[in-house]
Amino acid sequence: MKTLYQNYILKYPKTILLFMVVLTVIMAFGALRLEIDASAETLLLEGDKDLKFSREIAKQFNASSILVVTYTVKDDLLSEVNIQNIKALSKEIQKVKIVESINSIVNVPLLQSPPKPLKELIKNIPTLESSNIDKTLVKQEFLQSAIYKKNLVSEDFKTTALSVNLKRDKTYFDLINKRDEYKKSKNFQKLSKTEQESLKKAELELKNYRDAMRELNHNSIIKIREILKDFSDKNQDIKLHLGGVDMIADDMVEFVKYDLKTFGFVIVGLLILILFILLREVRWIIIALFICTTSLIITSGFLGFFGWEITVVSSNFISLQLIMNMSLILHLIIKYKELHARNQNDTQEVLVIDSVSSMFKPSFFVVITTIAGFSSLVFSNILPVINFGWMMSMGIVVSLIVTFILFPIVLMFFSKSDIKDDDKNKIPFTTRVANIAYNYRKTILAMTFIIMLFSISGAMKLRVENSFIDYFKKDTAIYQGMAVIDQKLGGTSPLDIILTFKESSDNVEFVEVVDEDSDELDDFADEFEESEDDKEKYWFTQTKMQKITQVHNYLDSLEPVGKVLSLATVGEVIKTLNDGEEADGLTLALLYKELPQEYRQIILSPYIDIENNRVRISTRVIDSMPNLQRDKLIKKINKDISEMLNPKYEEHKLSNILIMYNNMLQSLFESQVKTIGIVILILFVMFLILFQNLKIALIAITANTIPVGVIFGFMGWMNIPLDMMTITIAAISIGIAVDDTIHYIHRFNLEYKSSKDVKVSMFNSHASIGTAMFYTSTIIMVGFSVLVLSNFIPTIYFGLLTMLAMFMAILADLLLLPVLLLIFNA
Amino acid sequence: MINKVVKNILLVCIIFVFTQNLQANNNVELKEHFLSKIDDVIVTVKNKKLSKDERNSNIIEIVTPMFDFELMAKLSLGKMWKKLSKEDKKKFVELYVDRMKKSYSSKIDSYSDEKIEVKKVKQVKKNRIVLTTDFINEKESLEIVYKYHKPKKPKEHKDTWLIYDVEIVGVSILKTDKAQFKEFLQTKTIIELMEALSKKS
Repeated sequence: MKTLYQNYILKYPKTILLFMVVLTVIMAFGALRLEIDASAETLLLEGDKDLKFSREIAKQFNASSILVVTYTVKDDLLSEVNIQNIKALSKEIQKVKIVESINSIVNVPLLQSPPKPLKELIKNIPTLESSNIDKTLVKQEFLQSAIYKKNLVSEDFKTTALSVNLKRDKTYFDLINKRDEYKKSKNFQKLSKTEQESLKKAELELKNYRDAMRELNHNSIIKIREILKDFSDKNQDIKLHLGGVDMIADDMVEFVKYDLKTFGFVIVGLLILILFILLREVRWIIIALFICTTSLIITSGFLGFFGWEITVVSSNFISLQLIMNMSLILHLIIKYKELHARNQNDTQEVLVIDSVSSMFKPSFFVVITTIAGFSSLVFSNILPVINFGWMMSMGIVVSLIVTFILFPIVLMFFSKSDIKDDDKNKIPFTTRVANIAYNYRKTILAMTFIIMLFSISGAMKLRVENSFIDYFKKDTAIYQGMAVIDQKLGGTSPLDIILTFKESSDNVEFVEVVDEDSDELDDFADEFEESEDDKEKYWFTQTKMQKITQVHNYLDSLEPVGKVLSLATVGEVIKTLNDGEEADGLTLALLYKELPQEYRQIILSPYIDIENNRVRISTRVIDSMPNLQRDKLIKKINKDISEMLNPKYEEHKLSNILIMYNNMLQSLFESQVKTIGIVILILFVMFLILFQNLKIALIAITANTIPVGVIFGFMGWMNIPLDMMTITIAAISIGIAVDDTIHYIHRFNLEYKSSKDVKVSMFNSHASIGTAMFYTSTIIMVGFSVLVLSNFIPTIYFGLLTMLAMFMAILADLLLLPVLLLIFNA
Repeated sequence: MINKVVKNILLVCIIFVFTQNLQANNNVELKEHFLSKIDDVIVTVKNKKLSKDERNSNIIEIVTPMFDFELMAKLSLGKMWKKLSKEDKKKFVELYVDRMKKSYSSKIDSYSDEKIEVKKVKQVKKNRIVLTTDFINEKESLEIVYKYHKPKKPKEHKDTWLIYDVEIVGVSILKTDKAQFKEFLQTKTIIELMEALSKKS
């Protein structure tokens, strides 16, 4: 190691420095290409079958994505002013490029104002704008109609929704299908070279197209927001909110961007401050900043060039990398200072080379174990978590290499500094900690036991139930928009129930009966053969309608289910038009055939797919309902509907965002157990290799599981659910915390070799490496505290809980670890 | 309006007579018969002296001879028909006919001032004629097609040509029933179907 530095790195420092600068500049271009992806897909499981099904359903039922503008008034919703306002707003929003159409109280068909015979109504369906409209009747219809109540208007008739239908992006889905085709065949066989190229091309095409679309969407949402803001400025009494999946995705991208920027700058500022407080020398701040920035640019460059995208989960990668790199550097600085104090006559070069070469081995192991922590995330089932694992693993390798190249070179530019007197005589804080550890061994063990009980009991209470709305602070546009839609307009999380009626085959066996009818009937046989053309016309049967209504009513009766819409809704409306009599097949067939296209798209097309013989019952679940247990609800719905259906002729399947979201939540437990199990196993093996002593390996792993246990215990007792971000804490904190354990045991062994006394070794270790450990832990904790500035609640939890883990880790390493080493005489 | 239609029909009749077409004779006869029946119906509907029930039963009396309800019942069951016992067949036809009549009565209730015009009469087979009409109100018209057949043996108290299906804007009443019954019978028995029909009628 020393020769490497003597013969190469420190021999040509300027050349290497120049090379690093050039590399950094090149990588900076890659960093500029770094992209952020916060689409709903990043919140889902990799290879989720339900995602594919949901896409297919969206395509078949022509369910385009929508944005919802809620419009809340203090006075009468149907006043002339409000009608004109909604018209004007719709007109403005309609101009935005991605908007296909807008449904609002102004243009929806009025079917019961006043009630008319169906045949009359069909020919001329009034809207609020038709002449001679009785507004009292209209209000009654909006509040009572199966279609509109708690959907288009709120129960208090103060809030209404403008449903902005976005243009369905066929190209995007075609490109996804194209890519998936190649991916599918890749699973079965090895792709030929041309196929591989085609797959790459398809992926690139998809990415480019999606990027362009995302830009367009973003700009359109900004435009809509401007329209709403302009309007709100002029009309103080009217409250507008924007909601919808596309808006949430777009806002989340903005959150991630904000987090990346803020965290980066604030952490750098904080680190400078702490370095200055701890070391009181400007040179260290310069060196640390230089190295950290370089590693960060190079890592971002890699991410940019490889096209790895930042998601909400990886939005804190900048802070994490800064923190970890800083702790690597800090260990080097402290080592250098220590050597300098001990060997004051050595030249700067000798001191520098000794510091880096003696620290390389522990640092290398530290990096390896941290990678073990991060790479265990790869075994989770959630794509953004997997990517985050890879990203961070790469980031830390970059940090290690950059630090061990740049630290000696840059330090050589500075002359040896004078050793301050207080440095020599000061009794380090950690020596006092060593005293506590030595004198209160039993208390420490007892405390550990209590903490373990706390952790286990808390961990048993852990849950995975997350309400999406709770991910956001109450003052964010996402939260406010979602809250209004959730509580007043029938819920937010879409859940579809797809009923498929199996193709009926004439299973009546042919019986040859010769009677007087036979001839006559055969005469008509041809005429009444079923043709494809007939399928559509004669699809509507009462048997089907009854089944749909049964399932519809069942869903409607569930408390967490908000608005339910289906063919039964239309049936219900017809019933009111038809003097309370259910619509027969003929009426429905006529309706399907004769209803004008514009209305058919609103009230029929989203709910029937005659070609595939299936119907969609669309519901929205009230996401903000306290104690909502999604998995239980889904299981109950599945079971109850199964009981309603005859499996020979009907089947059902649940679909849409709630299902995929729940799949992700349910996989959290499994992912958590997997990642934590793997990280502990890997670390144990590493400890065995590193220390070549089973007893020490066991002690080290014990000291490291305590902080993670505390996190679970704390989350359980505080009722904080596991989510996509918090499941990464265990692996990350164990990966980082283990650094201290390795440093400590490494030093303890060295001390023991020279002193052969456990107590002396312990006190010496505390005074030397203990200080560095204390400093790095402080830096890490302060670093993570910055995450509370995020708008995204899981990120805030992540920051706070990691701080707690780091605090427990340093306690375990400075108190429990030495006690265990003493007791077991390891 | 009806007079005008009749005039037109007469005009058409003359043309057909000149062509000495046997089919034409059938067509004209049928059309005239149809229109006279419709006239009877309209007169009855407009007769304010009659109670609703009297009116409806009168109308049913007028139209019943025009329809081959028995055949409709058989056709609506499709292949299933052949599996029924003699008693069940009889019972089913009764129930079906009953339902048809009830359904007609309720449609009569919603009648206002629509007019009926015959658009086209076409003999498609030796024993089949299709009569296309327009059901017209102030704004629009609805195409209603009546399908006639001529039974081999004339039926008692019935016309020579009998309606076996009606299509409203292309949707056949018979096919609608057939689809309904077929699906119903997938999971339920014919007894249950008859029970359901008797509840409705």
